Amino acid sequence: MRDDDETALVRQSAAGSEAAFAALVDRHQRAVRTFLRRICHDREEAEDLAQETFLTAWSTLRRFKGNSALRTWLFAIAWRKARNARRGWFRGRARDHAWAERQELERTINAGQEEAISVRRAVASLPLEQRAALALCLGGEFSHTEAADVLGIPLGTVKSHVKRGRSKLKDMLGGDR
Amino acid sequence: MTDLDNELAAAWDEAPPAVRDAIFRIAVLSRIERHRFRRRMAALLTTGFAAYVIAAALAPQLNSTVAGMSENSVLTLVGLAFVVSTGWGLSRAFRIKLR
Repeated sequence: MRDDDETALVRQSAAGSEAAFAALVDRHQRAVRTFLRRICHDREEAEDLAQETFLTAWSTLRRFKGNSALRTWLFAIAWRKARNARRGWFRGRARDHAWAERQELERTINAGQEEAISVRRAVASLPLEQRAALALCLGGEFSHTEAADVLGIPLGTVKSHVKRGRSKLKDMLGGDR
Repeated sequence: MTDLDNELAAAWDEAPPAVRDAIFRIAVLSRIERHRFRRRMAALLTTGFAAYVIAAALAPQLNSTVAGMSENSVLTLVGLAFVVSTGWGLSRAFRIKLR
């Protein structure tokens, strides 16, 4: 029933119904924003990319043929946005990121969340692709196959990313337990 | 899920977005509208520039035609051309149906 609802909403959105698209945003915003918050360096960037994701989805919804689940398609857009933003990040936002990180560090230390810092720092040190694979497959709702569709890489590569990422995190966090 | 998985999930999602977030939804719709406005303005400017180029290209022929017309006729013609081109441009930019 939910799939039928979603198919109808997609069709109406593609025809120009903003109300139908708003309903789709409501359905998927939490998952998309959670994914982007996991892989981006700061929350503001993640929120901005999430909005851009849905803007792109609105603009290109006519091209969505239904070959994959809508959620997979949305996550693939979100992933491309995050990956492209990384290039912009390296081109001059390093100072902004360092400032934001200091602010967050002070906030979480004051809140007594040293362990959370440790995990987030460990995760942030992983390459983006490994972080994204972990974000999708660990604690998320994506199978390795779906994650491969989202990231646009072979299934074996996804499994390798998840395995290596997990192993690195275990090594990094092992001394904190 | 392993302990590491649970720890990751807890640290990653310590303040997850709300299940329903009207502010985010409105922000997305606003962004869509701004994007739509920018595209309309780009279409309008492109149309205006194209009209200018065409008019400039036809200027020699227009000059010789206008030379034989009275001043009132020229003004009427220019006014009519302005109204028609503006109406057409606006209708294209805003997709207004003209009957």
